[in-house]
Amino acid sequence: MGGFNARPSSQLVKNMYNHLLVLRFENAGIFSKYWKEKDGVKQSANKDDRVLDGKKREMRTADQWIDQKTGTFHYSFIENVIRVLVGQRPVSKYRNTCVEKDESIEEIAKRSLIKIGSLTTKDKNNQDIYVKEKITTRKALDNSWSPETTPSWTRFKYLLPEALYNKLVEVANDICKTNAQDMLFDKVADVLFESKDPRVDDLVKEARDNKAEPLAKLLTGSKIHSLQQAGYIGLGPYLKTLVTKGVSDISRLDGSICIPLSSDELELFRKGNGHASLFDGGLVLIKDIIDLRYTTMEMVTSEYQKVQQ
Amino acid sequence: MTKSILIKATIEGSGIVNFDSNDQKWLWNRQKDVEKCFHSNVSFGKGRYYPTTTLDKDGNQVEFLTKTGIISADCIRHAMYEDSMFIHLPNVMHDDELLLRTVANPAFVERGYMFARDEKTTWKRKSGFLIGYAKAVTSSAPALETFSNTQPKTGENKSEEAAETSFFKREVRGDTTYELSGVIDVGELGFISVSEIHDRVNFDSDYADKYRLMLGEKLGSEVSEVGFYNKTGDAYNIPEQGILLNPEQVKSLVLDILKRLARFNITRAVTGFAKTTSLSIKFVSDPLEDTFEDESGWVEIFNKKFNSAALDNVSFDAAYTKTELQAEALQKIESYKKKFGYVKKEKPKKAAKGKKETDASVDE
Repeated sequence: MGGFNARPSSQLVKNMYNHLLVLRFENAGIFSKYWKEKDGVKQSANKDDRVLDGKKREMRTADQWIDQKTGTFHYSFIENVIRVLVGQRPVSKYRNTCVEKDESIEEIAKRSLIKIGSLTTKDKNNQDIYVKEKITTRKALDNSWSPETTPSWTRFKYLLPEALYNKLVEVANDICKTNAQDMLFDKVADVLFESKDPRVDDLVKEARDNKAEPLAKLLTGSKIHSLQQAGYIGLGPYLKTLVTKGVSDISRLDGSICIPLSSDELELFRKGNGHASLFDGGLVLIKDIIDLRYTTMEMVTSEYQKVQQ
Repeated sequence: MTKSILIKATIEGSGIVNFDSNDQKWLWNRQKDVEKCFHSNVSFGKGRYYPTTTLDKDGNQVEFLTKTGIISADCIRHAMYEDSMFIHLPNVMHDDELLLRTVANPAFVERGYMFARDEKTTWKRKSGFLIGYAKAVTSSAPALETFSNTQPKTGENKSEEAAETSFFKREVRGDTTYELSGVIDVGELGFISVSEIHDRVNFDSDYADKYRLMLGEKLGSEVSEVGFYNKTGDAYNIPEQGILLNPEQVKSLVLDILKRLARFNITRAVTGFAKTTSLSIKFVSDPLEDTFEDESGWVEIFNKKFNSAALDNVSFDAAYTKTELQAEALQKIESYKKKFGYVKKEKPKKAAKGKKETDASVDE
């Protein structure tokens, strides 16, 4: 078809592996606590966790979890690292995507070996876990510690039903006798409250009908400094505003990956850029290429573990 | 043709510029010959702990930890770009025009971003600039020191007798030298995707003309139109819709990244400082030959003074090639869009119901 890339052959000649490609990775972040068990069924610890399946966003199901074991990780992560290293783009494991996989990469990933140098410790159930550190994350407003939801015109425009917002602007313009949106919302609210205009009472009633309690409070003279102080407004809990007030635990992994390759497979890596990313912010670089004519795979990989299948 | 640029930086400083939580005390206490810590009012610098074994006086093998100080990648990236990132204002994030004006900026093209927006496609861009953490290669031994500060009398301390002075402990270090490794992906840096089916919408393609104009103003030259591009060597047989920057524009972005890294300088009021003292780069045209560990090919571009001469005659690999689509191909892309594109979700009927659900999940 015109304009489409010719699909490369995925049938690689399966020679003896005569090379070991050694990759080193650092700073690969894993957010460890991502599921909980309820009545014997695994559930997302995050109520908003969804898997995009075509056009639908579905809750993640039990078979869409990967139990990360310490000391190794699932081959699918290495599969995507290899895809990037050979010049392709990563393919989602669980989400439906419009792209087809080059299956040969999966075979290469399954035979990879991993050595993780990060420290492990025991949790309260005596299970091995990676040491965690704290990071600042951006979180949705209702899931953060942020008090910074100052009432403003933009925020009300975003939160209120369109008809109510337009009515608010109209009444405010009329009472303030100027373009009210040029003034601070707090100031306008004071002017509206002091005007004792019956239209303001209507606005208050309508605001309460639309669950916009903070607006009602502002228009009835309450001094609130944030929307949270006065309860959520309208769709407050569904706000997708991200703020830098979240804190999370993250484990950072360092280590190396060994991939046994035939000469033909090794040549594929010349097409890429020589680097990839792994998990959250992890940097993967090509460290070495070991010729197996002069050493054995067992000697090099004695400290490595197999990937999780 | 240069596909990517490897980066090696030396950062020098004194004290600690990047802190972790006091949960670290359990690891800290497993070190040898350090003051043990059993309190919660302690600040520790970020670090990595490594197990070491030694023999005790009875000849038994004992394991202890040694700490290596680090500056996290997030901290370094934040310090590099904080002067250009003012985005967390809701007034900007909720207004398409303002958000577009914000992301049509070299700093955002370089660093990447994600703006999840209710009922609209998320705008996100993966950074073409990747770094690890800066790891201390030489440093003095860490220790805990006692400090004091003055706090208002609140809560339990309200009584007249309670002191206003509070004591706390903080990890301290002397002069430290860090090493940092990173890479710039030249191909990805120069491509701005708007493709929904590839799940890489950098911005809404309806605003493409405005975006081109705004970014062009900042880059100083005209930005090309949105087209369909194939990634070299990609197994995908679906071209991606986006904007390809020209080699000069990519070079200016690369220079900006390197200059920001060379200017990296964190100064904390009390606890310490860290700044870049030297920066070397290596051009990668064959990823199997030009590796990070290979000592040849490194060029020092910053040591007290920035010298970009090494970049003058470098030609960058575009990684994407433009393609003209025939009607049949366009039809296929449209069908993919229908299947995988964004779908507007239904609003909950009552906000109060949503609040109840939120509360219930918290109780669990």
